[in-house]
Amino acid sequence: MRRIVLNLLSLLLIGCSFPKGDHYIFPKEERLLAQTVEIDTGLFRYAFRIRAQADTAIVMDLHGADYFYHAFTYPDFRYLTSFGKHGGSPQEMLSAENVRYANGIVWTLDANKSEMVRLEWALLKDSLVRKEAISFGDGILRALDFAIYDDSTFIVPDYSGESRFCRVDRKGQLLCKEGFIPTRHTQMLKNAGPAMAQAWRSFIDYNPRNGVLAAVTQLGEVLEIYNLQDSTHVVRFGPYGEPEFRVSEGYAVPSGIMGFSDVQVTDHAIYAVFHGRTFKELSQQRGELIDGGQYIYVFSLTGEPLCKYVLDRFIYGICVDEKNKTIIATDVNSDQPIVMFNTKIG
Amino acid sequence: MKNAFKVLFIVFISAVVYFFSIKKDKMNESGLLNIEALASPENNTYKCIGIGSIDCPLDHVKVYQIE
Repeated sequence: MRRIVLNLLSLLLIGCSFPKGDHYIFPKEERLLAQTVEIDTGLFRYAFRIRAQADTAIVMDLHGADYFYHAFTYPDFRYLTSFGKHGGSPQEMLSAENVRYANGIVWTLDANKSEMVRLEWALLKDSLVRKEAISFGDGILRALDFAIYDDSTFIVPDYSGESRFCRVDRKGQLLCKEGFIPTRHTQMLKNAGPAMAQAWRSFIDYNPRNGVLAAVTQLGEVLEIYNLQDSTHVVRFGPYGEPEFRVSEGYAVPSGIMGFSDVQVTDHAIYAVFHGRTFKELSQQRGELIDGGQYIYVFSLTGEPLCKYVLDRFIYGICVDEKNKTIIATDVNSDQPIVMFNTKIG
Repeated sequence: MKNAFKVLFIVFISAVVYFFSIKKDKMNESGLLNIEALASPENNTYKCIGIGSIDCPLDHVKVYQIE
């Protein structure tokens, strides 16, 4: 009898030891209060991205009626100029996906035209002048984000499902594809790669100083870190896990949750804006629809969770200013869409 | 001792049933994904709603939600 009881107990212990799923947990949580930056011009419909460098900042309006981009002085945010005119002529833009701003050079991406454009400041620094346009060649499927790898190479997420990223040269030609979608549904990836790649749509950022390329999923809760210097790849799942979706007419229709909406790799850490609201919850909102994420997650460059900032606003894009210990963010729900958070970075 | 055995037996059976039910759910989840991927297109419709950041596959406009 005793042996039977012992055997049953052993079986029970084995039964209880199955893994319950591994996801990151933040060791600390802090609240941040937003300070609104007053702008005296009503320019924005949907302030999606913000970049600041030296004494100027650029804000991208995802649904800009006349212009997609607006430039301001930084940090006092006095209006300078608008660029990226919305329209169908060759020098105009059909859509805007992102903007990169470094060393006084601005790069924009138009997914609907499959084109990237380089602009530079005019001598008086009162306008931006179009200097170069790059059209994507065959093999680049609808680029929805980009990062600058070096002077002659860009990184663009891949939407074929075959890989994760494409490296593209200065002429828009595909150099190589790399990485893979780290899904557990491998059969699904095999059967419906493009739909899976759509569902795994990710926002990316690359820091050439440390070689870290980070990608965060718009659906679900996945962070990927590719260190392009030592070729390591880290995948971190949050409690919501992989993007959830169903396939309709070959396309991915999102279900589950809205995940991340922006990511930035600084010299010391990775910052990502997280929404974490279910589509059911979004569709059940009454009155004014709230859009955006109330959290900024901070990870180490190797993907260890460091801190979860809980915000008093719902934001979309961020620009982390480590020097001034601030995070500038965009809030699409407000007529004054630029806000600042003071942090204790470093 | 007999009572202890009975209790342990019930707990054991419950644990076994629970374990297999979890496994079954997981199988259903991955199976459903595959079935949906292979489902005939004419049965699936969706619509893009509002203004947001999700890329609508119909017209590539960014929308709040796809249903």
